[in-house]
Amino acid sequence: MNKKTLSFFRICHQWIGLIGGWFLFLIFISGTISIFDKEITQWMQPELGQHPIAKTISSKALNQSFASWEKYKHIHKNLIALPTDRDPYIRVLHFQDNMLQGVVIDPREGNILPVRATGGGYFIDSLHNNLFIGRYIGGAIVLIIGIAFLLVLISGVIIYLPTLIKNAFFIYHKPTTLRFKSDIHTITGLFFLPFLFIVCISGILFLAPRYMPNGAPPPISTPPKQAAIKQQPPELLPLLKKAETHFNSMPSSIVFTKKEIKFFEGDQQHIARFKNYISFDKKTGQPTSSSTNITPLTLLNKTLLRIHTVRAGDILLRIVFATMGLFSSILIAYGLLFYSQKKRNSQLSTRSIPRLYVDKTIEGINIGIIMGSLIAITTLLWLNRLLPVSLTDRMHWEIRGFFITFFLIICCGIIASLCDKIKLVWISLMGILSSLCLFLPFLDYIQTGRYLNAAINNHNYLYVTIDAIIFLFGVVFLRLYFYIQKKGKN
Amino acid sequence: MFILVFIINFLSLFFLICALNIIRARYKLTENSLMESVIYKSGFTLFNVISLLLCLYYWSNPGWLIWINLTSINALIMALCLGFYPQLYTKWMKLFHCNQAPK
Repeated sequence: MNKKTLSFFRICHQWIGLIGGWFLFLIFISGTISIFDKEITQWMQPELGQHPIAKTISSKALNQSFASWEKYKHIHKNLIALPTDRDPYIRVLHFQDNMLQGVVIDPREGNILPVRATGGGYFIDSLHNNLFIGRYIGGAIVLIIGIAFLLVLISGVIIYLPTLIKNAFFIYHKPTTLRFKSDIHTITGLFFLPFLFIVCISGILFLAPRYMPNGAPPPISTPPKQAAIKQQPPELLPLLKKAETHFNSMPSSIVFTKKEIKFFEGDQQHIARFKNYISFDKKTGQPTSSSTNITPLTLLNKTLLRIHTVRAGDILLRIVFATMGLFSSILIAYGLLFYSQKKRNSQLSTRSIPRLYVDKTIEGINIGIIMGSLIAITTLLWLNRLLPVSLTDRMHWEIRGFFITFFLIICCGIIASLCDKIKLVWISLMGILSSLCLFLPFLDYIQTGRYLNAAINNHNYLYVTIDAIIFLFGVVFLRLYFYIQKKGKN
Repeated sequence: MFILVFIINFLSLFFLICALNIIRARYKLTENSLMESVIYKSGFTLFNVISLLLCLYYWSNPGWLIWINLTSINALIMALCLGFYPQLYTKWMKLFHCNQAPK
């Protein structure tokens, strides 16, 4: 390959990587966290801890679910999510304000469980899917970033290919150097290439059909009719039993159409995203249709989509994928830091003032994006515990808190970078992040201690486990805090 | 089981770096015999296949996915170990197989 082509790919990788990297870091971090979306939603609703985990679903609970669903049936995309091992409650969900939300129902007693209003894992999911901008516009932005990411991956492979064999398994051991950052970026990119390609392509496959000429139109909610005749609630339990026999396992959700009731198969059974269903006539209760066979090409597509969502398999696959996601975020962060340090080193030889300020601003944004994403997510968890349960519009205040923190930290990063206080801003932000993580479990115990104790008594260790993981991250960030303090701004 | 698969996979990658001449050259180590590289390459293949089979056996459906990602994670850990603690590798090589190249 001649030098001109190589230089073109280098520029592509650098600039698309920089601009795309700002969004990609947030997308990767939120994607990594949203692997455990159901667990996070439960953690953000600590009141659920006092209810013992039920293994059965009663008819009363299903009737209550239908009654709750009817209130939101005019809203596009609504469903009844049935209990699973990961989330043992019935959730009546509808898509509103760019994310799923709804009520929680006890599957045994059938009463609506009083829980605090929170975005929970659904908010983080929405952040990953459409940056919380909206399903159509946000999805388009994420799709463009996905395509840019594909270009970055291809250009990265091309520019690093000549030195790949020579530098295989090579990491320069001094972390303050430019070479170390470059090595970590290259090596992580090299080893995680299959994962990154699959995640990128499946992400594009997820979003692209929305914008195809025959794709689904933007969702429009129709207001409920004032004088609508109240429907007779269908007997859901016998239908559920039939669906359970059909799938040989508990269905994952119920969706209502005008004439039919559709039961969807649980998402843990297959590696491909089959969306198998069986539907029953609303009036007669007789099976009307079920999913059909698919072609090998569709199977490949559905497999890629399911790999992206990590729904198949048990907790082990989710942990492995979360680790991959975490390292991929580190890959992006090191790419951004490598760019900043390279520019900072070249500033020593350049005298152009405007370019100097542009580079400093970019470095500030890089710091802001990396630390802002992490601190904002931790702030979201803090706000979940600190905001009064009775607060009006509580869920939106949590989300506002997230975005205010995020943009404040980006501003902090830019100002600090322009004032040449890079080390100070790194130390301060890392200190804040580690403190937030270290003290969150204690705040959780102070605020929701009785729910926590009740959960432990009910053999529900989810809350304690998440607290322990957050604390562990706090320890890692504290170690980084002392490390930055000792080493300097590089 | 996961720990066992992790160790076998990690071991296979250690065999891979022992087989790579480019890494030997980096630490100025030469081969004692021509068979060394062949043995290490065979060891790498064998252990990696064992780890794949174990993954497929215990986690049937997404077993291959766990194996691919586990190999990626282990390769990164191996690269970090080699970067920060190269003495582990050089000691092993000097003790069992290689001589230092003449200066």
